[in-house]
Amino acid sequence: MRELKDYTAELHRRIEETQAQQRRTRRRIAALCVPLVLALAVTGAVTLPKLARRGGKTAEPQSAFSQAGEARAEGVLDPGGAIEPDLHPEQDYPEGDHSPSVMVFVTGKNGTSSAAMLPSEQAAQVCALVQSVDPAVFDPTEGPSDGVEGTEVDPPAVEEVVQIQLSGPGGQTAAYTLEGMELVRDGTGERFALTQAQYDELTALIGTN
Amino acid sequence: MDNGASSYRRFLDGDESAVDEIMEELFFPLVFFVNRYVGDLPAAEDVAMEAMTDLFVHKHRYNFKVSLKTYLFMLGKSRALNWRKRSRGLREAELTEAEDLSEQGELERRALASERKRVVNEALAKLPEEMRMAVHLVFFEELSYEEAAKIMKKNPKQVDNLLYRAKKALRSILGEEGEQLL
Repeated sequence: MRELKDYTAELHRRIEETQAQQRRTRRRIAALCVPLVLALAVTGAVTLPKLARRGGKTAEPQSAFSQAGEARAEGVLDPGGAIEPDLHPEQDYPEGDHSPSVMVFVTGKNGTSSAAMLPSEQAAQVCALVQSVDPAVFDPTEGPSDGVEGTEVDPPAVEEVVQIQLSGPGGQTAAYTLEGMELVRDGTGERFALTQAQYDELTALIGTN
Repeated sequence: MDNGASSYRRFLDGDESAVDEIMEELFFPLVFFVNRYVGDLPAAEDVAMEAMTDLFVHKHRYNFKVSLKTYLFMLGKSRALNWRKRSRGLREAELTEAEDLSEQGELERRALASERKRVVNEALAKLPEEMRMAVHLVFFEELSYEEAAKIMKKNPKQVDNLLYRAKKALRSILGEEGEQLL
C-alpha cells in the first residue's frame, strides 16, 4: 500500500480531471444546442406568421358558411365572447316583399366568434327548412306550435353555439339557437326537434357540419 | 463525533486543506470497508478513490442529514456493488499469496488500531456477508445502529439481530472469549 499523501495527491488529480471533463461536456452540449436553437428560431420566424394568418379563417373552405364569411362577413373575430353584427335585420330590411336572408353566428368553445350571411339560395333553403319545423317562424300572430317530432337520435357532441337569424320574405325575423338536434326559438324558448335528415341538411347549408 | 462534517463544510466554503483532513480520517477505513465487498485490495482502493472523488466533485449531493462517514460509506458500498457486478467472471492477474497477505496486513494495520479488533477481523471472514458488514460498521467503524442500518439499507432492529447472531457465531469460532470481544 502507498502512503496517504500519495492517495491524497491522486484524489486531487482525479477531482481536477473530472471537473475538466464536466466542463468539456458542457461546452460540447452548448456547441450542439446553439445551432439547434438558431434553426428553431429561424423556423419559428418563418412559420408563425403563416400560422397566425391561417388562424383567422374558419375550418372548411368549401362550405357555404366559410364562403359567405369570406365574401360578406359582417362581424369581426372577438376572442372575448359573442359579437353583435352590424346588420340588424329588423332595422335594415324595410317591410314588404324581399328575398329571405339568413345570418349565422357561431361562438366557439374557446370564445372566438364569427358571423356570416348566407347566399340567397341557401338562405331560402334554410328558411324553408325552419318553416317546416316551425310553421309560425315568420308569423308572429300565430301561437306556438308543436315541434316536429323526429326519430330519437343521439345528437352529436356540440362544441360551439350556433345561432341563426332569419329574415322572411315579408320582412319578419326570427332567431333560433341550434342546441343539439333542436332549434330553440329566441324570445319564446320553444324547442323544435329536428330529424337526423333535417339536422344534416341544416348544418350542411349553414356550414357547421 | 463529527466524522468529517465540519471539514466538509470548510471545503464547501473553499478551504482545500479540508480535503486532506477528510482523506486522513476516512480513506483507509473506507478502503477496508469496501474491501469486504470486493475482496481485492487494489480494486478496493480504486473504488474508494472513486467514492472520494464523487464526494468532492458533486459538492451539494451531501445534505448533512447523516454523518459524512455514513454518507461516504453508502457511496463506497454502492460503487463496490457496481464493481462486483461489472467484474463478475473477469479476473485480473492475481497477486501472489504472499504479496496479497502482506498488502492485507498493511491495510489492517492502518485501519485497525487495536489488537482486539484484529482478532475479530480474522474471524469475520468465516461469517456470512451481512453479519460481517454489520460487525464491521458497528464494531470497527463505531457507527451507531441507525447509521449502520442506513448503509446496509435495513432497519436498526435488523442490524441488532445480525449483531446478536454474529456474536453467537464468533463464540463458536473463537470460543467463549470471542463473544466478549464484541
